[in-house]
Formats: sequence, C-alpha cells, structure tokens
Amino acid sequence: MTLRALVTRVEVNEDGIVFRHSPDEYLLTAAEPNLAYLQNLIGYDKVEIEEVTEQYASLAVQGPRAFAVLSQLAPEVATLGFFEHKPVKIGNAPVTVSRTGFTGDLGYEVFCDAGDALEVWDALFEAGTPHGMLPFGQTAILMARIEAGLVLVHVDFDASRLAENDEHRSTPIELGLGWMLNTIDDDSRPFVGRRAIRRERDEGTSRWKMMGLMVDPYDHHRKYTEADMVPPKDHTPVHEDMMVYDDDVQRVGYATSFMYSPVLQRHIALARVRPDLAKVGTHLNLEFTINHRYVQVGATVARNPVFNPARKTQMMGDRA
Amino acid sequence: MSAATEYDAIVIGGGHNGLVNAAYLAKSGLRTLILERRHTVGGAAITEELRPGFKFTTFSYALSLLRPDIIHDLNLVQHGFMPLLMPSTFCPMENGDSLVMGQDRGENIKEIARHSKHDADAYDQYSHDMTMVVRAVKPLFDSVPPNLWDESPEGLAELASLAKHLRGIDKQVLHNLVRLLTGSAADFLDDYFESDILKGWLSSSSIIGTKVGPMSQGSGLVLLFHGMGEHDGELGSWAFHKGGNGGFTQVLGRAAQAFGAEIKLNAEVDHVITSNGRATGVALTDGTELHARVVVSAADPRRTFTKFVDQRELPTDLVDNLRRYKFQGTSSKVNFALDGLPRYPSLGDRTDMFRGFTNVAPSMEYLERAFDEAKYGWYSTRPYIDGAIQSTIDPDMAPPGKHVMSCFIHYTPYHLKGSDWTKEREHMADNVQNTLESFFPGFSDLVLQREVVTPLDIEQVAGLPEGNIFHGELFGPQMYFFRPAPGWNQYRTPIAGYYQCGSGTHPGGCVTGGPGRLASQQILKDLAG
Repeated sequence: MTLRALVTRVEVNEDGIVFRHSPDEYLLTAAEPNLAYLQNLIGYDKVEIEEVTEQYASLAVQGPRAFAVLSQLAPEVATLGFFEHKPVKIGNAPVTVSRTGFTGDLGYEVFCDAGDALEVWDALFEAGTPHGMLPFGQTAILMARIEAGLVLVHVDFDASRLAENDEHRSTPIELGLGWMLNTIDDDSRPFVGRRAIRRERDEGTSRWKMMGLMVDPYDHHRKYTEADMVPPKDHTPVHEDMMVYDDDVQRVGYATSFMYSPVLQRHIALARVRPDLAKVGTHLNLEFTINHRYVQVGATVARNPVFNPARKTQMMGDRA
Repeated sequence: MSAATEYDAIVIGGGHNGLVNAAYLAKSGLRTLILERRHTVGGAAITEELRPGFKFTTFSYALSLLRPDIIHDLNLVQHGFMPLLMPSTFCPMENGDSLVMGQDRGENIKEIARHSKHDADAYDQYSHDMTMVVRAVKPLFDSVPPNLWDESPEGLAELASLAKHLRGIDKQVLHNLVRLLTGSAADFLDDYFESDILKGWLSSSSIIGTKVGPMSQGSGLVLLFHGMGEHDGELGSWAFHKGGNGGFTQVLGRAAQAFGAEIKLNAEVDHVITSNGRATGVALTDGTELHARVVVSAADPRRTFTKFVDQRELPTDLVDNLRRYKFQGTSSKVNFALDGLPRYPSLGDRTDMFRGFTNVAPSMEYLERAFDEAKYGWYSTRPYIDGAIQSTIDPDMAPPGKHVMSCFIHYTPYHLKGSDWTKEREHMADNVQNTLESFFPGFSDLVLQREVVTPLDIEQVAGLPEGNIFHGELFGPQMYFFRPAPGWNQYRTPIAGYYQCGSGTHPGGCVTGGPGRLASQQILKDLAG
C-alpha cells in the first residue's frame, strides 16, 4: 500500500522556502521539524544538513510601506526582486533581507543572528513608527495569508508522511503548487517523485484543485436575515472544514480556511474542489451553520490569490 | 438647440448621493450625465491637501452608514473601496481619567467596570436592545417609504406592507423604537447606565449634526439614526476610508464612470428647463443647455425646489412646507496639521488610543451645557469635539511622523446673535483649541496649521443651506413620510421627470448613499411603467 502510494503520487509534507546563499550553501525554512526526514534522503550524496533554528531570528516587514521603512536602513533592498535576497547591514548587524513573506503584499523578511535580534527590531521600529508601523500577531498573518492564497500546513493540508490515510495526503498540483514544477520536463534536474508528478499532470489524476471561493454577499445576507440574525462579518479565520456542494446538493469539495475579508468586503475561503468544477466563475455552494442548522450559501470559484496587489512583485528601484 | 434628447438622465450634483444615483442609472443602461459645480466630485465628502503632504477631510470625515448593498451593486471594491477599521474610542475626562474602548471584549468590560461595575453589564444589554431596534428599522431605512396620501392600489399596498412589518415587530422592541423616535437620548440612556463618561460617549451620537442637546426630545432619533451604521457587520461601528471620505467619493466617481456615466466638472446648474410641466433638461450658468428625459437633483430641498425651478410651478402646500423646513446648521469643523501625536497625561506615552475617535464629551451634562449656549444664539465655550487623527490608521494622510486631526465641533449655530461667522470664526476655533489644550497639555505646540470650517463655510463651499450637514434637520416632522415634505417623500417632484436624490430625502443625511440608491429605484420604476 505504501509502495503503491509512493509510485503513483508525490505527496507534500511541508511548504518552506530555500534560500541559495552560494552554490554550496542553502537555507531552508520550515514550520515543522523535518531534519530526520531530510537526512534520510541524503543517501550517498555529499550533503550536510544542519538545524540552525536557534541561531537565527527573523522579522517580517510587510505591507505597502515595507519598502519605505526598510530602504531607510538598507537602500540596497531597492534592487531586490520578488523572492530574491541579499546580505545587507541594519545598524551594525549583518542581516539577510529577502523579498518574501506570508502576507501576499509588498514585504520583506529580515534574517539575523539571534543575538542581534533586539538591535534589528529597535532599528526597524525607529524607522517604521513614523510610517505607522505596528507589530502584528498571528491572527493578522492568518487573515492576510487567506487573501494571499497561501496554504498552511495543518490547516489546508497535512504532512503526508504523517497522515493516517490518503484523504489527508495532497499532491503539489492538488494544493495549487504546480507552478513550482514548471521545469519538470527538464531531464537534467532530477528530484524525488518527478515521474509521478508528470504522470499526475499528463493523466489528469488530481483529485482536487485548490481554489478561492467568493461567497455571494446577497445570498449570505438573505440566509442570515431569513434566520432572524444580523449577518456576521467576522474577520477571524475559521480553520474547520466547510463542505462545498454543487447545485444538485452533491458534495464536490470542502473549504479548509474561511473568513470575512475586510479588503474584499466579502466572505472568502480556500477550498478544494473537484477539478472539473474548478473553472473560475463556477457557481457552487458553501455550507454554513446558521441557527444550529446546515445552510448552503452561494459562492463562486475564484483564482488564488483573491487579493494580489501589483506592489507585491513590482521592482521598487532601478536595477541598473 | 434641437429638441433631441442628449442624455437619458442628468444628475445635478456630484456629491456622494448624486454619484450613487448616477451609477445605478448608468448601470441600468441610461445615458447619464453628472453635473458638478466645483472642480471635483464629492460634495461635502472631499479630501484636500491644504499643506504639502497633509490631507484634510474638510467636511465629512468617517464612514459607517453607507448602505452595504451599494458596495456590491456598484463593484466599489474593484474601484478602490477600502474602509479602514477605527479600532478604538478614546474618551478623555475632566478629572484626568479616561474611557478607552477597543476591540477586545474582555478588556472593554474591565475598562467600563473601572467606571461602573453596573454599566459593564448594562452595556451588553444596551447594545443588544439597540441591535434589535436597528434590525426592526433597517427594512424601512432601506426602502422607498410609502406615500400616506397615495390612494392608488399600489400606494395602499405599500401602506399595508408597512403595517404588516410594524405588526411583526416584537412588543418591547417596538416600544424601544418609539421611545427613541420621540424621546431624548438622556431618558433612554439613563435607563441603562449610571456612569457619566459612558453616557457622555454614547449620547454624543444623539446630537451630531443636529440642534438638540442629549436632554432634548428628538435626540433619541438622532441616536438611533447613527446606530443604523456598521463596519464589517458590527452595528454602530465606524471606519475611515483610505484617503478620507474624498477617497471614497473618488471611488464612487470611478464606479459611475465604469458604468458609462459622464462627469462634467465646473458645471453649475442655473435652472431646470421645463416644458408643459415636464422637465426636459438643464441650463448651466454659462448658458449651455443640456437635454434629458430625466433630471435628478442631488442638492438639498431648498435648491431643488426654490432655486432650480420656479416655485410658482409648485403646489402651495409644498412651498409652505419647504419654508418651514429646518436647516439651522449647528456644526463646524476645525482641522489640524500636527507635528506629532498629542499626549494624555494619565496615559503617559501611550498613543494607540488615537487610532479611533477621540470623543470629548465627559458627560451628558457637558454636552447639554454646550448646547445651552447654542439655544441662545452663541457657540459653545467648551464644545463637543469628535476628533479623529486619521493619519494614525492611514499614514498616507500626512508625512511620516506628522499627523492630521479632523475635529467635528458642536455647537456652532449658523445664526449668531449680534455677530456673524466672519467675525467669530477664529474665536470659535480658539475655543476648540483651548478645550483640546485643557485635555492634552502641549497640544497647541503641535499645531502646524489650522483649518476652520464654520456653518457659513459649509454653506458657501459645499452649498449646504445654513451649513446643515444632513440637508435639513433629522427631526421627526422631517423624516420618512415627511422628508422633505408630506406627500413628496418618494423622490418624485410635482414636475414630471424631475426627481430628488439628496440627503433631504429618505433616509436622510450622513454618507449613506441611501437616497441616491432609492431614488434610482423609483426613477427606473417610473421609466419602466
């Protein structure tokens, strides 16, 4: 059974970022402990993997003013493209700044030695406070990432190697991460599971497609008003499964993250839907619990991310 | 000029209701033109950069009552609609203490309990009771009111539907509704609360824009009116639009244009052209004539009925009622450019409480005393101030580290006894600044610039008669069946093809968009009929 799973599908364990510091030095960020798993993959290759979590501090400087704040301290960030990184100094502290983040907006992540963290924090806040910069917590980032269409382990997917059954495993294509695999046909770049991904793509065997859902505001209002309630518009993300149905009340998917988006003024969700119903604009129904009863509210399939400001990827300065 | 109709509809006035109305008409396929007297759309909802980098919300300064359907019907998000939550309310007190209400319910309960343990629980009961009343009123707020004197089958059906709705309202909720519609905010709030600061804060909403004190009958209606608003589903909560309310009306302008409406700026209407009792277009002050089968006035009732058309074409009772219609604006704005954030001594260096309204109303008595002076034709020595340092939540409103502070001021009656606003404007603003200085020592040292907007300025710049921000008082005799006049509450006028869609029509003032939206429904129904 395990063997079959391995040869037929490639499954996602985690979602992190690899920073290439030099041709033979990389930094991988991860949300969960993965060291043993990665070390087991080394085999006879000349690779060393070291866990450095405690040595680093990282600060996410995110939002429309992120460049204005950070460029005061490190003007070099002007030439950073989306997902690029470079070493700079903030005060006396050497740091790595990357044009990355989990908010889906213009933003940077600053990695420094853990011992320099307070100095870097203070410098950033001194530069940022006149711009209205505030510390943000987990709820804020959990809201922003839904609008940004960024899937989260333990919420939108489970680590496949720790899953109890196939329902809890996902392939990269099913999670909407297929864009990371666009060099998959280049035979000079082998990696674990490449053939299985090609097969899934070529044979169309994906079970789900990760899409955005935009709830119909009129139907939402109507269903709550009929239930004698003020329609709630709660920004707090809901991380529970909500079923998705077609108009014939057949279950065709499930939402894994749901919230009222203050930016879009709509209830939105990240949902897995059957690939044949994943076309943008398709009308589906999301199941709410209203007055302790299941009620279906109309929703439309949307492309992720549902909020995608141009500044997220725009060049901030002149590269030349 | 040929008799050919150039437009299907011409909307006079590019304030928020004119824009909403035009956008709906254009959306339905009518060739629609908006005529705006000034160089920008927005009316009394504009943002002006009076000092490099400092953006002032000259008049209207926050959003709450905007009818949520408009956001979706007109695709406003696509055009940049972005209300920013004002996450707190800060009420300074004369003894140096304060009430700071935020987003955390537990913290709010503790904060109220600091002032009164009784009121901590009463606040939940009050919020619940208000919510129930608001829910009962909402369907009436958001639909064309019936005409009591319309005896057609359709008119009678509308009345029957109203009666059915009222009969369906819970007994206690209906009683609370009547208490609010007819009584004073003080009587209503006294039933719930004992603490001065809580009552001072809550009763502030009962006087805004209106010549009443919290102890006047009629203030309950204003309290309820402001309770009809919401931000993201939270009833009674306020937001600040990105770029100020001028940012909001720019969004509306783009939405209207996206549906095909044309906007003509610097186009002042002289009069509506009529022929055989029917509107056929408008004449601009420069002599240009523009023709359309529908003309809609987004202006106030006075201009709609006595400036744009010849009152001799109107029924005598309408003209009489309009003569009695109360404007009597009582509000001013004093806006500041600040070199930094003020400090409140008992809160030390804390400044996060400035991210919402700063409500200077330590008690109902404070407000009532401020009103006393207005009753006798003068402005308040210690005024009510609804302050908002908007740059704390939208840093684009001021240069980094600097701030803009919008202050809405009560009471400053339009008619001053024995003086006028050209003489008194700076004295009035001094009263405001001195009051702020008394709560925030060192405030005056932060002031880089002060913009003073008296009722006379509101009248002369925004065009609102006597500076009334609601196009006429929110008094019982000027609401619902009677707004702006008995029998003319359904957006029509005695002149066929000539309609009204300003705040002088139901549901009334504030940035609701309701009049513009409901008028468009009536116009489209008439055109279809």
